[in-house]
Amino acid sequence: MPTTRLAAALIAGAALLAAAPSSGVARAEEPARAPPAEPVLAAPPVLKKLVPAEVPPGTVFPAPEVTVVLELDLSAAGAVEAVRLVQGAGEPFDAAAMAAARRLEFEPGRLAGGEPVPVTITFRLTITAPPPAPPPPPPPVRLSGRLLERGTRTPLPAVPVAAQAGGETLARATSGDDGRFVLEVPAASFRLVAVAPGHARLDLPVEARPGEERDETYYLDAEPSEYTAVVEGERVRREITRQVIPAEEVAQVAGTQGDTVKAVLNMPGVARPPFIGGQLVLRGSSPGDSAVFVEGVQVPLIYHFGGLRSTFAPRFLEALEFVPGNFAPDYGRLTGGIVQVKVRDPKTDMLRGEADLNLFDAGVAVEGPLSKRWSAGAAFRRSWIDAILPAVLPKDSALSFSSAPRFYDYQFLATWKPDDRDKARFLFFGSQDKLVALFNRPAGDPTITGTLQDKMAFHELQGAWSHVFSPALRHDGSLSLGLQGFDVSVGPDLFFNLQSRRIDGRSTWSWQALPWLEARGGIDFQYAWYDIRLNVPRQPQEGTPGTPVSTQPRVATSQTGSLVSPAAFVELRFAPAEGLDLLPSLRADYASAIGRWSFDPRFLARWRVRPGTVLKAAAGLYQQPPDPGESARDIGTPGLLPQRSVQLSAGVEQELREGVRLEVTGFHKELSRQVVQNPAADLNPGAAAYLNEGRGRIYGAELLLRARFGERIFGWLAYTYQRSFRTDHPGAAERRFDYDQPHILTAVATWKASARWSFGGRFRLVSGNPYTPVTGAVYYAPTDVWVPLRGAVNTDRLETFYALDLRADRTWIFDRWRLSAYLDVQNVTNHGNQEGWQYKFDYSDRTKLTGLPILPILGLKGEW
Amino acid sequence: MRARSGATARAAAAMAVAAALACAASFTPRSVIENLRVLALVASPLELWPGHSSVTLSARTVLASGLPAAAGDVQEQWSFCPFSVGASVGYACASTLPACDYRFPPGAAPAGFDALAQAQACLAALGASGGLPPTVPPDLSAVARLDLVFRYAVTDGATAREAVQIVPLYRTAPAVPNLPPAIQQVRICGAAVAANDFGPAVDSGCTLSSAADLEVEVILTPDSAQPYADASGAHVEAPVVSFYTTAGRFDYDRASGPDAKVKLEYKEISRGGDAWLYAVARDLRGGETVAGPYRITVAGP
Repeated sequence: MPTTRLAAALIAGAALLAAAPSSGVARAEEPARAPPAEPVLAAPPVLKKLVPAEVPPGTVFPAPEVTVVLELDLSAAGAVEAVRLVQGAGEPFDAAAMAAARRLEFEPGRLAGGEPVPVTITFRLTITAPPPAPPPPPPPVRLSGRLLERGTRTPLPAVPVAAQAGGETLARATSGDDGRFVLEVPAASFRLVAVAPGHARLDLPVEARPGEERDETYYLDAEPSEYTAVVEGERVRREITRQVIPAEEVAQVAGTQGDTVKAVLNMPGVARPPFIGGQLVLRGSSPGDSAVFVEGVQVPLIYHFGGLRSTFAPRFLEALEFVPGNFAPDYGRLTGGIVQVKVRDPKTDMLRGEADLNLFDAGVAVEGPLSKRWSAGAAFRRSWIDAILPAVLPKDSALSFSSAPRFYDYQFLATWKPDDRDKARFLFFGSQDKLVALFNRPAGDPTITGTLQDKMAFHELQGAWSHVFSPALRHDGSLSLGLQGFDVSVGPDLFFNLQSRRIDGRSTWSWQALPWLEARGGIDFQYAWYDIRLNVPRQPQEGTPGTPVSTQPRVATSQTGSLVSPAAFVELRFAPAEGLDLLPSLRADYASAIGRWSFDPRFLARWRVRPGTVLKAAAGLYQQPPDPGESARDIGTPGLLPQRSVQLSAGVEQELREGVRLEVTGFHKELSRQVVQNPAADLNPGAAAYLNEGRGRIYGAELLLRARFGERIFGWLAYTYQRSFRTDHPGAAERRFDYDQPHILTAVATWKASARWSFGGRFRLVSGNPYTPVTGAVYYAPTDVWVPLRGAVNTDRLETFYALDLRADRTWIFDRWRLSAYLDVQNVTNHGNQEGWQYKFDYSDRTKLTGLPILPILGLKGEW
Repeated sequence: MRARSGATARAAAAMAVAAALACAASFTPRSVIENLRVLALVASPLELWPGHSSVTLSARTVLASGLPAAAGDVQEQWSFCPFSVGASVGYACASTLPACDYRFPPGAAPAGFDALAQAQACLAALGASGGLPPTVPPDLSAVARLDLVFRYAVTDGATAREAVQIVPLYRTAPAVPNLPPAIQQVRICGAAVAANDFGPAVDSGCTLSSAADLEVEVILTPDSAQPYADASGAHVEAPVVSFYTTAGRFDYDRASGPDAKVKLEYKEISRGGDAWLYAVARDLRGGETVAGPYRITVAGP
């Protein structure tokens, strides 16, 4: 068969789809026309395989569709043999169309008999512009954030953070130790969600630009929790009763005006001091038989002006440790109890501070890191009573102030932690109380006239170092330098001036020799150089009712000297069985003032019978040198012996349920060698001024029920039954101690309703103090005063004391600081509690002397 | 050195301040005479020493009417105690032996009484009775100063009073013997009035009324503030004048010398009539000088 090429007028269309920029798809369209020819083509070729026309990427289409008309020579097999351009559309469309056309495949054209024949056709190839490329996905938002507690700026670590949109979590992260987190969120609009325990949920919308990098700080509101995590890691108990009072816990206790140290007065075993006194009367012991220590240094004054405020501001207090008796051998020279003020290290996370203003004083404090290893803090407080007192003092008052009562106290501290085994701390603190007043006229006792000056100051500089040699061996040491000054005078003839410089040193070694055996030992050294001048009435001792100043024999001296009081102690701890601790100890003291050694053996046993139940018992000898004024030459008796107290205690601690703990302790103290005045000394120059003839006995029981329910509610109920008696001389009748208060009940509760509001209350019910009745009076003509005639000592008792104190705290929390206001109302029932008697000049009549009436105290504190 | 003594002194100072600031109870002030009162126990001489040990005492007692008590108005009892235990027990005697708690005849005041001789008699009696109590020095010559106590008890039937005066007995004569303060002048409502040591009442010619306060002034001689020495060193007396009235209220009960001045205010007056004023100057070492009574007229309310 001749290879006659038939011409077929065929116009076919093809479309170039734009899905891929480098390819197109050709599509055959219907034949347009068939040219007349012989033989007759019965069936035109039919497009079998469409090949897309490929145009270079980025080709700009002049129109959505571009058509190229081609002429194709098709073989009898349907293959494209030649391509010719008939009507182009321009490059690159023409070339692309021709290239695609060469690869097209057809069903061959056929004659009437069905034979396939070569055919030439016209082919319209349409190239369709590809659809526009979908926009690229937006770049993710990079959100760097920091989670801080609102108001305190405390970083919140380990908090899960998520970016959410439409119920789907787009990104997650967890905050680091500094509260920081980073999220890469593939969306510009989402919600940021963070859930930190004890804090309100953070759920914020975030609108950002795609690809934006943000750095934000987020503040979460702290919320008191119903629950609190308690980690039991109690250190070895070396005292039968040691109440640890966290500063944070008692800062809002009613009746304390935020003064942590005052909270001690709410503990069991503490007698209620009179409203003008700040005495610490523990388990029936005289105030001078107990002491307050700040990190091991005994401070001479715990409260400003007889109980207004403590001399160590609460900012840097970590906790108070209160031991009313049977204390560990680290401490001595006392027969009562001790209060240990524990100081915390300055904050290391950032610069922090506070400003405080209340009825009594105003103060500021700052603290923060100095470097990676150093941190430091400082606090200063000054009273402003001197600003308001002249305004409220009656113009015709018998007293006018040239320097109204004022006090200040300060604390500087710096901590250095070079590594995990060493810590050094430097603490500089002090206090001053001062008033200068003029008695405009001779007072009730005409010898009290002229200028009254009262100045009391102390300053202490302490360096402390602790080093852990190994897990079994550690050393704690401190050295303190102190200055103390007392200057009290009334007119030119009544004065007491004492200046002293002190060195206090402590060194304690602890060695865990075996799992069941630990040894501790150390030294406790005191040196004091003093310069004293005095001309004062011989002060009546406890149990001696007072008489007018002008009727009291005076003592006068002017001397300098030094006192050395070294001591050493050792304590062993045996743990022969699980939960059983036996702690025998011995302390040796030397007092140069009396030139005598004393040895105090002590013993403590604690047995954890079962989880939550502890039985405990202790016995010990406690000896205390006489007051220097009692043993000093010229005015005292140098040959006195140390006063003695044999202390016995036994009790039980029981955890009643989670957060509720009960402690019951019974105690007995036998006092001997108590220093008493010798009345013969005023007449008989050969008689000793003081004698070791006094005896005493004290017994009682303490109950403490502490409850803490999460962070919202805490409080305690303290009840003490105690009796305290003294016998001043052999053969004399036993009498009640001045502060013999058989029943002391204190209930304290604080409710943190929210992060912004808290409420508290305190109720006290206490037996009245004993007093000595007045049976008459004698007129003392030389100074125009009346001398009361007394009955038997302390045979009558003042009325029972009760008072309800309420407190409300409101906190405004801003992002970077907090403002707190409190209203502490003392004695809300305005009950006139009797504190004594006020007598007519000749003691022929009397009326009750009552304590503080209802007293609202408002305070403000800003913290940042 | 702990400063417990200092703390006690501070507490005493604080109590003094508190007392000065405290609201006073509504008691009648000490300067108002409502009933029998002992204003002074005047001793002469004020100090004794061996060879100079005789002393005379007299009381200045005022009746409820405000006028000086005369013999027969009251019952008086004087006693002498050489060894007293001190103020804390109301100056009770260390011994109740008659020689040690020596009682004068009722109504009789010590006059030219040899106190040293009586003290030695007391020692002898104590020795004879079995020994000295520890409060009594065995040897008087070893005692630099012994405070002898003279006690005065008086009653008018309605009120009983007890008063004591201390007369020091020195081992040796003091360098400057103590003398009572001397009143140079008394002025009432600006005018000087005649000196009067418990004599008949002197009319001041002054009237107390609501229109004006009445000023009372006692001027002491400059040498009334004597120098003296004790265990704490040298001092100078600071005389104080106590004022008394039977009507009205003084602004202050006392004033410091040498120019002691107070105001008598028209307060608490229930009726008009005569009233009596007194002043007692003291050197606070046993020396007392009395001025009064002075009569004033009180306007009715």
